[in-house]
Amino acid sequence: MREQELIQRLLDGDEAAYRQVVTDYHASMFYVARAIAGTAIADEIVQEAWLSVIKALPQFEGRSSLKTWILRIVSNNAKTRLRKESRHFSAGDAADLEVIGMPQARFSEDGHWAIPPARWNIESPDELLIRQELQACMQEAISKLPPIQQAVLSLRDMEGLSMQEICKVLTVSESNSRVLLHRARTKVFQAIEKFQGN
Amino acid sequence: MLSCKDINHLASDHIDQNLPFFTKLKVRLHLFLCKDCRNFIKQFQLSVDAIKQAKPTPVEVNLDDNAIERQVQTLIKAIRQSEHGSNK
Repeated sequence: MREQELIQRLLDGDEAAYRQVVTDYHASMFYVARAIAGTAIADEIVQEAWLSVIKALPQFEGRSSLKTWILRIVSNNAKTRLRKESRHFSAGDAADLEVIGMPQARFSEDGHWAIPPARWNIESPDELLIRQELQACMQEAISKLPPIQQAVLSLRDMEGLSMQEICKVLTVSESNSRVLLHRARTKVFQAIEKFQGN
Repeated sequence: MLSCKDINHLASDHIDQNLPFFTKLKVRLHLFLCKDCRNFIKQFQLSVDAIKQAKPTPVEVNLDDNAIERQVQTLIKAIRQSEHGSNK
């Protein structure tokens, strides 16, 4: 369904269209709300954001995709909520002390591999995903990521947003969002590596 | 010359093709010479492709059919209420 058609059906109150957007966007909305405002009130913010979306939809001008527009509403609602509670959002707070890539112990002092990754003998992602246990392992690794890393990974690799869109939605700098993405991907890589080694 | 640790830090930007021209050349030179980093980048790319393909939803996001239906009904109810309000 084209986006314009989807928007018209949403404006008409079409249940199937709402079912589609809830299925497609709800998880990303939750990630964004949680990354900004924390787990305790994330669900509440998503509920409020849906109502804001319904109210504002007739004014949607299509300057960004519907998804990005909805995620910005979530982001604004989450920040407003934080301001009301006299808290502030800083994406870098929790992440600054973390290493950027693989752990330091994997490298020798001259920066070359001390413990290089073992070969997986796998040529395609399908071969990785054919195993249910491995999917569960990836899911667990993603669940354990700090919320801001989970949000960046989800928006970039699962939802296909550009880095510029992610920066706008989460109000992080491009360099910070790239570091967050790399940390998140590295942790999932390490989880797969550990799984392959067992 | 970049070290393996540098390649490790640049891996995401390399696979997303976000590196500046000269850094890209330096990465390519290192990968040409270093078998371990070639293997690392190949497997890193595979894991990113797997994330993109599988789109795993973490357990705390409750998106079973019932949860979706409840959310949809809440939205439809809100729309009908707002229509009812504006018709008064």
